[in-house]
Amino acid sequence: MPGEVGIWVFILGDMVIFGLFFIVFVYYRGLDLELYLQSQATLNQNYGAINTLFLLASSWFVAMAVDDMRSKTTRLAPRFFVLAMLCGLGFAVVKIIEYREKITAGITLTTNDFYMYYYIFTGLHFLHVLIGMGVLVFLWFKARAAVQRKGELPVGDKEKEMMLIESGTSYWHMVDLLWIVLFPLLYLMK
Amino acid sequence: MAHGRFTVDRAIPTFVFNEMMSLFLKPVSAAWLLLMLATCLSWWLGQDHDLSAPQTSDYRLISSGLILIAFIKVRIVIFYFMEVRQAPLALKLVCDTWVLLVCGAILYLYWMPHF
Repeated sequence: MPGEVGIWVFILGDMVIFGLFFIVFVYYRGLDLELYLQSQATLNQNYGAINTLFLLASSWFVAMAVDDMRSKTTRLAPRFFVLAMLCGLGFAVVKIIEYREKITAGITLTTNDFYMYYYIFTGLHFLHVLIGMGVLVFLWFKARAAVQRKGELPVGDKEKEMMLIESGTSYWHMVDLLWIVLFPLLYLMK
Repeated sequence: MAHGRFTVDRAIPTFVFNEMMSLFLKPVSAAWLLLMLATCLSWWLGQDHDLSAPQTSDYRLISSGLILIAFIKVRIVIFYFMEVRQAPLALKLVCDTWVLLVCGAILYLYWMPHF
C-alpha cells in the first residue's frame, strides 16, 4: 500500500465529495446551458491550462523525490521537493491573479450559479493546495534529515519513514488529480 | 577526472548526472510526459476553432473527448504517481470504480441533461 490506510480513507473520501461536486455541476449546467456557456466564455483557459501543467510537473518532481529516497541515495530528494514547492507556488500565483481579475471585473460568488460553483470548487481546491504546500515543506525537512544521516536507518524505521512520506505525496497527487477534472469541467467543456 | 568526456560532467557532478538519467528513464517519467502532452492537446481542443457554434454535434464530441482525456489522465495519476498499480487489488478496484462512475455520470448528464 503506498502510504498509510488512514490517508487512503481520507483521500478516497475527498474524491467522493469532489466526484459529487462534479456531477451536481454538470446536472445544473444542463438545466441552464446558456448562462453557463456565457459565463464560461469569460474565463481565461490559459490560466487553467498553465495551472494543470504546474501541478503535473509538481507531482512528477514529488514522485522523483520519493523514488530517490527509496533508493538510499537521497541526495536529490530535497531538491526535487523544492522544485515541487515552486510549482505549487506558481499555481497559487496564477490562481490569485485570476481571482483578482474576476473580482476587479465585478464577478463574485453571487454573480450567478456558474460563478458560485466556480468560486466554491476552485476555492476548496485552492485550500487543498495550501494544505499540500504545508505537507511539502514537512516532506522537504524529512528529505533533508535523510541526507544528513546519509539515508541510513534501521529497516523497520526506514519502512515507517517511507510510509509517512508516501502518505504525504499521495495527498499531493490527489490535489493534482482533482484539478485535472476541474480544468475541462469549468474552463473547456462547451 | 572525466577527461575528454561530455562537458555536462564538469557542469553537473557525475553522481547527480547519473541519478538524473536513471530517474528520467523510469515509467513514471514516461507517464508524466504523456500527461503533459494530453494537457496540451486538451488546451488546443478547448480553443474556439470556428468549426461551428457551441452545442452542435462537433462541440459535443470534442467536449466528450475532453472529459475522457481528463479521466484517462486521472487514472494515470492514480496508477503511476500514487503507485496504486503496486497496491492491493481492493484499492485498484475502488479507484477504478470511482473513475468509471464519475466519468460515466458526467458524460450521461452531458448528453441527457433532462433525463
